[in-house]
Order: sequence, then C-alpha cells, then structure tokens
Amino acid sequence: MSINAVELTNVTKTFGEKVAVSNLDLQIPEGAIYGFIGPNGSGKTTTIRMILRIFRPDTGRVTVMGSDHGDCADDRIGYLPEERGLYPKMTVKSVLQYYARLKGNYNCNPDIDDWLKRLGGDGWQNKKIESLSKGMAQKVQFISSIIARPQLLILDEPFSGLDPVNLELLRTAILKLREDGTTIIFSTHDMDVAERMCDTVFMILNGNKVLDGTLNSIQSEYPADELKIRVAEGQQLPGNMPGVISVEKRGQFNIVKLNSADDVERVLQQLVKSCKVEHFELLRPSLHNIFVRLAGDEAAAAISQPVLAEA
Amino acid sequence: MKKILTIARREYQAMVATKAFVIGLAMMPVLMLGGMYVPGLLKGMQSSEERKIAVVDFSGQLFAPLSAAAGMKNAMTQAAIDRDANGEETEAASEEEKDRKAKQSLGLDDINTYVLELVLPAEFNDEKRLELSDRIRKGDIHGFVEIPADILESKPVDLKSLDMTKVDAKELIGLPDVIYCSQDSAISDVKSWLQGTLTQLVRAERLKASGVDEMILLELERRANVQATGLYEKADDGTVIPERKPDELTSIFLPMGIMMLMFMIVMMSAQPMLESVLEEKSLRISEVLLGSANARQLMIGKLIGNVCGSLTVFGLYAGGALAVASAQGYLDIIPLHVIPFFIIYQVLAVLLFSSIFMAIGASVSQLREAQSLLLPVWMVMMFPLMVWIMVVREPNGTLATTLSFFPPSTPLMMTLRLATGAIIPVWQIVCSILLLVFGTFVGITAASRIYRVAILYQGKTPKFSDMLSWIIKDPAG
Repeated sequence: MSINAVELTNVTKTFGEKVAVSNLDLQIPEGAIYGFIGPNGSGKTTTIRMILRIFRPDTGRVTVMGSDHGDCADDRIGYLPEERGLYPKMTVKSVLQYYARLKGNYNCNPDIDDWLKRLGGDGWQNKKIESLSKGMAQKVQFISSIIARPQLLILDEPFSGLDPVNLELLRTAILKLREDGTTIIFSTHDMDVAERMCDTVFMILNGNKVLDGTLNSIQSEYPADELKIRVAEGQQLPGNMPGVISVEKRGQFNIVKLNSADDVERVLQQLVKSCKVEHFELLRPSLHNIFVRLAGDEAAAAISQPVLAEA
Repeated sequence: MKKILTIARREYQAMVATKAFVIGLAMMPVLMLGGMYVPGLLKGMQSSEERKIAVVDFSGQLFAPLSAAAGMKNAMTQAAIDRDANGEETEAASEEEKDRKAKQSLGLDDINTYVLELVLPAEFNDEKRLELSDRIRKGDIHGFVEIPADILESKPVDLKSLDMTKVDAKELIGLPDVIYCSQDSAISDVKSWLQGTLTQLVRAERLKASGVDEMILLELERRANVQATGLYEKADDGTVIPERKPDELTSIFLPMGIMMLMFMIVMMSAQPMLESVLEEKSLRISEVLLGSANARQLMIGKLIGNVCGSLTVFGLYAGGALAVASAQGYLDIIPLHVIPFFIIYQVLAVLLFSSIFMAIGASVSQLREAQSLLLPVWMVMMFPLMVWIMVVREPNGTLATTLSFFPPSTPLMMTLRLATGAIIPVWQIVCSILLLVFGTFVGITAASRIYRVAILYQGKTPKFSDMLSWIIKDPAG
C-alpha cells in the first residue's frame, strides 16, 4: 500500500489579516517528485515552512512521514532554500559538517567527500564559501540539504545559477535520490522545468489550491486547443481559417490558437486545400497555458518572474 | 540537546577563532592603557624652548632676584633634560623631583628656559605696552611682566570689618596685581613660574623687612599630615600590622577598571551576537537553520556558545592581569574575592544582553538600522558608568544600593561595589543575583519570542509596538 510522505488536511495559516494558506488539502505520495508552483506571495513558501515545522498551522493538520506536527524540526527532512544560506567565512567542509550534525549525522565526513566528488567539487573541502562561484556555492548548498540522508527533500529553485552542464549533473543526482526512495518536493517558477522533473504538480494561488494531480491527468482535463504548423517555404497560412483565435509566428512554425478542439479537422482541411503542409501537430496544453487559464495573464506573468522573497 | 551543543560549538568557534576577536582582545587593554601613557609618549616630542620675557619692575628691587631665579631654573631644567636623555634612573629623592616626575608622566612638566630682559619703568607707558605687544606678535619676545611699585609693601587688612563670606582672597591678602601679557593660554608655564617665584621672592623680602626669621615661620606653619592605613591584623610572626592600604588613585581606579572589564566583556559578547544573527538573517542562513532546529534551540545554543566565549575572554584578561600584578608585587591589592561574583554576574549579564542584542539583530536587515533600537539598551547598560565615582565614594549609599537591584544595571553596579572592598550585606548580594536571574529569564523569554518571528520577517524594520505584540502574541506559532 502506498503511504503518503506528506499530508496536509484542511490547513489554514494567517498572518494578521492576511490569509497565507486557506483550507489546503494535499497528499504527497512517498517516492514522488512533487512540483510546487505558484507566483510570489501565493502561499507556497508558507506551505513549505509548515511542512518544515517552522510555522504551525492555525487550523488543520500537517503530517510528515506519519508523525504529527511537533515543536522540533524533523531530521528526516532536507531543505534547499531558494536563496542560498551558507556562512561565507566557513570552509566548505565545516559548513557541511555543521549542517549534517544539526540533522543528527555525526559521521558525515565520508558522505561529504563522496558528494563533493559526485558533483565535481573534489578538493573544495578547505575552500572558504566566500571564495566559491555562484554555481559552486549552489552545489555546496545542495549537498548540505542531502548530507543527512533525508527521506523527504524540499528543493526550492535548485537549478538557479547553474550552467547547463552543472544543471544536468544536479538533475541526475536528484533523479538518483528519487530512485533510492527519497520523496522530493520541487518548488519552481519555471514551468518547463516542472514539466520535465515532476510526476505530480500542485499549484497554489492566493493561498488556494488551483491544481493538483499528475501531469497526464491535469493535461487530459484541459483539451488541446493549440496547433503547431509549418508550411512550405514562401507560402502563407490562409487568413480565414475557421475557429482560429490567434496565430503566433515562432521561428519556422506558426502557433495557432483555436476556439475549441473540435475545429482541428476543419482547419486541416482548409490548410491542405490552400498550401503544402510540412508539419501539423496538436499541442498538449502546457502547464504555463493551463495556469494562464486558471489565474489570468497577470498571475502568469508573475510566475515567470524570478522571485526573491516570499512572505 | 545535541543540536543545542552543535549550535553552541559553532557559535563559540565563530566568536573565538577569528582574527577580529584576537585583535579585539589585544586592542582593548592597549586602548585603555593608551590613555594613561599617550601623554607621556607625546612628551618625548616636546622640545625645550628659550622664552624671552621683558620685565618692567616698578618696585626696582625684584628684577635681579627674578633673573637669578630664572638662571637657577634653567640650570635645573637642563640637568633634568640631560638626565632623561642619558636614561639615568634618578632616585626620586626630593619632593620637587617627585613632582617633576609626576608632571612629566602626564606631559605637563615645564621644560622651557627663560631669559629676562629689563625694561626701564621710567619710559614705560601705553605706547610702550603697544610696542611690546607688537614684539610678542613678531615672536621677538614671549611676553612681558609689569611688577607694580607697591608689591613689597604689606597692606594690613582690617579682618573684622570684612564680610568673610563675600570677600575674595586677593582683597584679603591685599596683593597688587602683577600683569603678565602674552599670547599663551590660561595654563601658561611662564605665568605659573612667575606666580610661584614672585610669591617666594616677595614673601622673603617682606619677612626680611619685618624682621621675622623665615625658618621659624616655616616651622610654625608646618602642616599636620594625615596618613590613611588599612585595618590592623596579626601577621604570621605574631606582630600586629596594618593591612597594606592602596593609595587613593588605586582605590578609586581599580574598582572602575574591574567594572570596565565587565562592561567590555559584555560588549565583546553581545555585539557579535547581533552581527551573527543579522548575518544569518540577511544571508538566509536562518531559514536553513530553522529547518534543522527550532528557534528556541537555536537561541539557547547560540547563548551557550556566547557565554563560553565570554568566559574565555574573562579567563584571558583576568589571568593576564593577575600574572602582571603578581610579577609587579601588587597581588595583595587586587580584590580576589570579587572573582566568583564577577563570573556569576558576567554569565547572567551576557545572557541578558546577548539575548536582547539577538532580538534586535533579528529584527533589522542592516547594521545601521540596529542603532536606534540599540540606543535605549546602551543607555540602561551604561548608566552605572556615569555614576561610578559616586558609587566608589559611597559603595553602600542609596544610589548604589538601588541600582544594584535594577537587573540591567546589577552586573556593573555590584561588581563595582564589591571591588571597592566595602562590606556589602549578604542579603543584597543574594537579592541582586536572584533579581538578575529573574530579569535574565524575562529578557530571554521576550527576546526569543521576538527572535522567532523577526528572523523570518523581511522588509521594513519593525517598530517597538510590533516587537511588543510579538512578545505578547506569537504569530509564528
């Protein structure tokens, strides 16, 4: 039987007048990579902090790996915050030792050496944090979140500041952790990253859950209504295609937005009559598009912006 | 508990194993002692000057003895300068030499030589005054003195007719004004030399005129010296001897020094706490920490590390001071009985002030924002420093006793009182400790409530009212 790593039942949290999270129900199954998506101030960080036991909910219940909310931090949770939190004057090794010991891993030196090696940081042990580049510091921060071998790992924007090579290195490491049974909460503003990394996605807006489910189930709920079309060079799309709301040129392709999925066939018929079609694809709705539908353009714009701090 | 100790260990290392700490440790006593030795060092930079002084002697009898006195003074000054230059250790035999040494250590001794120039009184008028003033401006002469004609006359004063409460000394003595004109400041060395020398000369002349033997007068005027001693006690060999009494300076400044040590240690401990919390907040380290330990564990861990750091500072300073005192033979004037109380008050003071500084560090986002919040804390903490002299004079007075029971003042005040060597009633010591323990408990509780909310609070600096509301109702909970 599958057990949930995290369960939030009817959770509400307010700060003075502001309702940060309202009547939230959430089940994160063990071994999943669960995406947390939402714009700045939507309640995402508050939810994470409640799971981390930094905040206590006003009402409702937060259960992490079977145990109820207590006063003490849970050593089985690893956390990589969006903004890096490392002591600049300490060496890489001493910072990692400190974070490991705080989580109860007192024999952490082999793990530190092993992880530094895996992420290309062999020989960094005695470097001061302040001498590291942004990408190097990001990797050290990542190691600090997993050094105590957590069962639940919360990653907030883990890929920010990484070049493609290091991003791939970290992505592989995260997927390997999942294979080994770690449950991962993956909070991001980048919808493409969320689509590539997560099995299940949870979207929050103004403290309310607006989406929750596997990518397949979410996308199947929202019918495909966009076409990706390429016609032969020098030819144009006909101007009066039925049911078309807008046409957007993206490189050699045209993205055609339809009134409804029912218009697909009629558009294709008209297209083949008037020009030579080289590519015709019905696009599954992207997370970004689904979010635009749910939250409106303004919120969608906010979500694609990098966010520095969240109350 | 292991988490708290892990946090305490890191905090201790962060406090003690830094260059800033080592430099601070070395600099503090240097700065304090510097105040005592700098004038003496500056003295080496002073050079002896020849000062030309024009003398208008209307009495007609004083220029020659005054010139002779200047010649003697010059010879003595030169001899003293030569001795200092050769590094000769002179036995401070005479009172004059003692006085000179004391003044020299403060950089106040007179190392100039004087050359006197006679100006005939017959030609002297306002024109001449202007002319001499011009010569002073040009630097040709240093100043000029007008000695009045009647300076040697005694002017008997009818004491009975005077209202003694209103009369001033000059009127009583009836001394005519000698005028000394120069560009010097009020504490001119020439003026004080003239004052002393002329008084002696005039006195000798008057005595001679009235036929009184100066030696008899000196004998009659001999002062009754009062010497202070400590309490009598029986020595090992059975003799009854007075306890060595520290001199006046020691009995005033030693307690102050001990109180300053407490102040320095508390500051050296509390200020880094503010900076440490501020760093953790601004670099978002606190968010990672709060994912590993709760605010209470963090705060207690930090405070334990901080107290250990402060005890290290005390150990080093006190050990150093005792070693120096022992080597110099002053160990018996150090009030060793203060040490255990010092440690108790220090631990409580560090806990109290460090927790307040932590709460402030957590509430602001930049160090300069902390200043306005720190001001009232500073004021309360430094109050004993403003009234220390009154407390040293009356260690069991009302002011001292009252402030001893006001927890933020207790550590400095009680240390000061105990260090004076006065007998402080036991109940006062016990009560002050109990009240301080209570005050520290209240302080830590309030500070921890502010800390746990403020550490995650971004944006504008909270007002006192916000902080008060966090103490009363905790929104993070």
